[in-house]
Amino acid sequence: MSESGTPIIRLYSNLIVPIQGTISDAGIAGLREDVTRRIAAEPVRGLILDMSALSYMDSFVTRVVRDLALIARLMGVTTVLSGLSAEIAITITEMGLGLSGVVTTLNLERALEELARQREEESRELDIGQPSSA
Amino acid sequence: MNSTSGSQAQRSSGGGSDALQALLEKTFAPVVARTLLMVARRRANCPEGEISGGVLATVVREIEGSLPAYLADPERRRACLSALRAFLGERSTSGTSPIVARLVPINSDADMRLVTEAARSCARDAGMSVLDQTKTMTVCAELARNILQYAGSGELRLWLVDRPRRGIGIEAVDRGPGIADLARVLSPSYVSRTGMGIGLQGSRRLVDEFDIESAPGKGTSVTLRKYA
Repeated sequence: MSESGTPIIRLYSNLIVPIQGTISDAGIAGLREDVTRRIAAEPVRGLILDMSALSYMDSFVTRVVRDLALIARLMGVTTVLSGLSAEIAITITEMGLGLSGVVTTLNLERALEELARQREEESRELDIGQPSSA
Repeated sequence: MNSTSGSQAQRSSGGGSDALQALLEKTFAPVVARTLLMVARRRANCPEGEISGGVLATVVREIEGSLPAYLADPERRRACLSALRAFLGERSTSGTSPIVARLVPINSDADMRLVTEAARSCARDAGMSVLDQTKTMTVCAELARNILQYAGSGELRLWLVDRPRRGIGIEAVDRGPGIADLARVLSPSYVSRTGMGIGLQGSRRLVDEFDIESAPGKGTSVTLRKYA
């Protein structure tokens, strides 16, 4: 458990953050700090924000999520958003709130697969870039 | 913290809670009946006091949902279900649905949870789908956040309406600095530093009626309606 009250779980080279529905303004600021500190200190490649505990998402939470993804990207970490319910997806779309630029998956499992797949692709590209040693 | 007002708040005829308990005791032992009712009431956000008309349907629905776990025999389950339905039908035809009002004071971050819980239970009482419940919670959260951010404190009022359709009315009131140029804040091109425009405009798209009154120094009042 971090200072912000939101748990941050490390799994292999990913950070998993289950966003809580009851998070407060202060909690959000703390969470941003906690996540960036851990990205800087640990060999982390992916960040998963799991939204499955949320029962609604207003413009404030939407902005926080987008900002967190942007900050992570600037630090070289890919963010995947998982577990958005259909109701939340429809609501934020109707409100005109976008989450463009953030990869989303149906659930946590798919998020982990997506990050693994991206990493595999990256390493394959690296292999091609280097002359083979054989 | 939550107070219930409303000039026309009306009690359901007879004790809804006692009647339900008696009905359940025809099928279950008293202690099981009591547990069943208690769990359903908690889920329906009405753990104590008398069960008012709008909430009664929700409580009965919750009881129905947990019946399979308590009653393995399909015959007895069917009998209990039809008794519950008959009970609800009897109640809902006796008089119009009551007008329930809820008032949630907004003073700090901690009140956000009360706001969205009240919004959810009101939307549920109005017979809204989960999608519309989500929209209602989102709108109320937007309004409450605006109040916290710009006025510091205020209150949110929720009530059930049944004309022209079933739904809920929402009013967010504060005595904050007010909005000088309403037209500008509500215009699609407006984006504030803090994102208020986005929240208000977004909220407007989620509801059926939207009315806002504000003047500098006089505070702001946003009145909405959303139908089920």
